[in-house]
Amino acid sequence: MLPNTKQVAIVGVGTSVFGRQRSETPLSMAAVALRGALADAGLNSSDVDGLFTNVGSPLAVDYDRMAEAFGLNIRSTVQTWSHGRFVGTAVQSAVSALALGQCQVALCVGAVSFSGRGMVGGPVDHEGGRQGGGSHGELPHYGMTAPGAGAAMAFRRYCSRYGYDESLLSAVSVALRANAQHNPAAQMRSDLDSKLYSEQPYIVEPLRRPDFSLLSDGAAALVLTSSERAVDLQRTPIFVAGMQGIRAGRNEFIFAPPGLGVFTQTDSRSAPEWEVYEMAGMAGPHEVDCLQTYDAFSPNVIFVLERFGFVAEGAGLGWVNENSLRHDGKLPTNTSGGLLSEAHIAGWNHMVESVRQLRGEAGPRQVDNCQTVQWATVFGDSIIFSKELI
Amino acid sequence: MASAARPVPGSFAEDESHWDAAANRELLVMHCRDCGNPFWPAGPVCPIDFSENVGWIEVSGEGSVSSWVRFHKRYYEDDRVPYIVVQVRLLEGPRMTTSWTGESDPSIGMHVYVSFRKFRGVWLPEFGPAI
Repeated sequence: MLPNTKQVAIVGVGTSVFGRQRSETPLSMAAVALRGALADAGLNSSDVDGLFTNVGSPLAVDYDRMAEAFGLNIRSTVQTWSHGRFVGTAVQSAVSALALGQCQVALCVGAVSFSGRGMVGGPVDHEGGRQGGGSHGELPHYGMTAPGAGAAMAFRRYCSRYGYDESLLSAVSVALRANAQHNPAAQMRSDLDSKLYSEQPYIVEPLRRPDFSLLSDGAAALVLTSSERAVDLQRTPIFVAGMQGIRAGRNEFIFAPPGLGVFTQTDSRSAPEWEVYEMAGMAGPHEVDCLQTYDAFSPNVIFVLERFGFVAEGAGLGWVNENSLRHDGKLPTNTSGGLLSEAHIAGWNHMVESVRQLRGEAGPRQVDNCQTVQWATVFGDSIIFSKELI
Repeated sequence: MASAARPVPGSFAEDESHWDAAANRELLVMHCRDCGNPFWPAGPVCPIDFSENVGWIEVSGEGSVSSWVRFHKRYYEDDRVPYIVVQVRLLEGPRMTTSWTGESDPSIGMHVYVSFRKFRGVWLPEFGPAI
């Protein structure tokens, strides 16, 4: 029989500068972020005994190098497959380890150096050639490459199925750019409206450059511990109230809601996700004050709204054109600008923003009366962060 | 140094019959003899019920456009942009993603037919409107 599980809270956050062409190594940026998070938490590096990350070398830092280089004594670690999509998974792994007492203080961190990468996809992508096709739908022998192409394929299908003009997608990148403009640390802060969007080149049609996440360099870190210990530390604890894992199966495609009808999916859409809300003791998405989502590509934002029941099936694209995703809008989403306009820190920037919003530290982009922030993705994982243990 | 051009398909045992048939201008997909469902991509077991009782069937080569994208960015050397990749729902059910043979753009729902193109020594099925 497992021991009693503990509740978990985030007690510190830290970041490096985010930007392009930064000269610092990912290892040094990770150290900066960790130092900031520990100072924020009022803890020392000697307190850390859990280490959780998603992307590893060469674009980011492996767990073993960090542990060795930073003098950490780690007894519980998870490093996922090297893709940003697993940021929520990494945090959930930390929560599970802490809950079961496998570690006492968990560092969750991402430190990336993406901007020098040049191209995402094409001949440098070896994973695309795997048996059955790549994880984003790649089939290199047909020229089907780059994660954005899979998102493009899904979005075109969606617009055809639900009767939308594809240009309506501009609403996503425009809203998130507006959010980034309230974030002095954001990488991309130039004006963007639907007209400017329509003048941007297609990368993989129907997606244009603003629909593709940035390439960035930077690091962000969270420190988590048990709620019991958290309440004795110096910052307001941010509790993990609920979570659910990434989904997989024949009716799933990473960049589409289940049953949209792309790749191996059926055409039968699924009922909205409920597991994370039930675990958090919430009635549903309408109780969420702020959404943070993995916006590798703009359509992901439309699709997560439908997947989790913020909007009805097929209603997402229309909804974001009539309701605002801005920090002061109907559903504040990716309030620091997201991967699309803040920076691509493999989702760790969203986790830090979740905490800042709940602490009331988001300054000009603060969501009013922010009590609950939900991390949720088009591929189905979710975490509910709350100021109170429900 | 590794080539920067489009690669040939990877060599996986479960796919061999598909590529061998394409060299004969035949389109083969897999099917499960237990549940009767055709499926694609190929695999060692049925993706519906995990049955090992799977084999190959020749399909009509016809289907309809389910979605499509147009690459404006050149990812592979020697590719001419823009180029189209189409996702087709075969009449028999499974979807297949290939290059596009049409002169003009696909439209979703358009009826399409398979043809075969030799690419670096391998025959690739691809789809387009009737010739």
